[in-house]
Amino acid sequence: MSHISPERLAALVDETAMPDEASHLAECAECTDELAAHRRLVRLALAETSREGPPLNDWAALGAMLKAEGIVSTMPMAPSRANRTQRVMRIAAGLVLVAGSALAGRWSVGLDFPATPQQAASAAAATPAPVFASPQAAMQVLTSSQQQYSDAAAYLAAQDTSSHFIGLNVNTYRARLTALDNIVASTRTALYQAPQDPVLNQYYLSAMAAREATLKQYEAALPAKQALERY
Amino acid sequence: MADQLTIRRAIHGDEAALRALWVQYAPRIDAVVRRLVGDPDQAADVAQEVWIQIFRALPTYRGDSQFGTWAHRIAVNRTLNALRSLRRIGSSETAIEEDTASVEHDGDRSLLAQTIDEAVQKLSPGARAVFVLHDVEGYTHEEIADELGITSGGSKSQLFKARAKLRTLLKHLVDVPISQEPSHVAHLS
Repeated sequence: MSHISPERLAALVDETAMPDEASHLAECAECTDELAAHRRLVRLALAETSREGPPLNDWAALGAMLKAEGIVSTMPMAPSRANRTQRVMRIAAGLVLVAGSALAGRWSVGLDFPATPQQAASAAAATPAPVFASPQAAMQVLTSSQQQYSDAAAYLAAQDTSSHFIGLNVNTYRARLTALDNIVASTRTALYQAPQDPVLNQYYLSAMAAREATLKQYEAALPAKQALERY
Repeated sequence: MADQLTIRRAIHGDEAALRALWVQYAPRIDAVVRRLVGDPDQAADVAQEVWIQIFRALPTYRGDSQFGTWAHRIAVNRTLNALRSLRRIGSSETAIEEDTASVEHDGDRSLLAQTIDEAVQKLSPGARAVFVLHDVEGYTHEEIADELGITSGGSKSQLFKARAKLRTLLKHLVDVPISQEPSHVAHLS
């Protein structure tokens, strides 16, 4: 048998040799060396898998593109002169709004509420507290709940027919959006300092979910033919 | 765990979170773009498109796989599309044939590559894509066939031809006399 072709030797790195090829390799040092060289080549390639390099672009250029594409949010950052008390009040107001949105939504779709705080407490006590195997497991539940909360808030916002009963109007939604923007801006600023802080992340994400839900309500409350210009 | 929070914020357009994802994953993602595209300037343009595509698709990321794996798939897909639009791998089935014809004759040392990266750049775009996807990125021939719109047999054929050419280009790196093979030395001792 003549020598095995280079391409066939390259294939034999992955494939089993035919009987005549195996016999030839057992006798031919040249082809055996060639096959070994091909195996070294494949090992070299495999070693490239984990090799990293510097990014091909800088963030300034990419960030500008992302802004132009509308992928980066252009919401305002936190006002630098806002004092701590104001920020705390804004966050507190935001939480009330977040809870309020959910309650208004529940009311609008006809769900029952606990009549008294005692009833609420006993209802909570009847639900066994979950046991988590690890912080990771708890975080997964938190993240999943967050997603469910966002989805539910968006759904309720789309279903909400209660606004005219409880006096919500375009001005109310606009005020709520301003408050939520402040919460988002405050928590976002804080996240620059503590990006992995779970409390800040949850506040941030809750406010974002409430903001998106409110935007839908706001848009629905606008007079016909009036497009949403801001937010 | 940390990624999930960052990803959630990135979905909402938080620039710090988007940047954090880019800082963490660009070295790996851009490396595969660089290998597939070859030309550094074109690779930079394609990488920019790739990242925009990744961030645009973020809301569809459900966490079924690692974020890096998910982003890597988008990067490969987008890069191949970009190359296809440049008509660089449209005729990949034949491009390698032309390249391979010269393999037997380019043993000149001046044609040798100093690194595997440099050698890969000397392959035709189609052959480079198959080699990088299979031998570097670990794709199967079936996956490559899907990505490139060729048959798995065609993928194998191109891979073996690409390896044969690279074996010549990297002669000085892979031609180690068998007596110097570590495993062989160990076996003899």
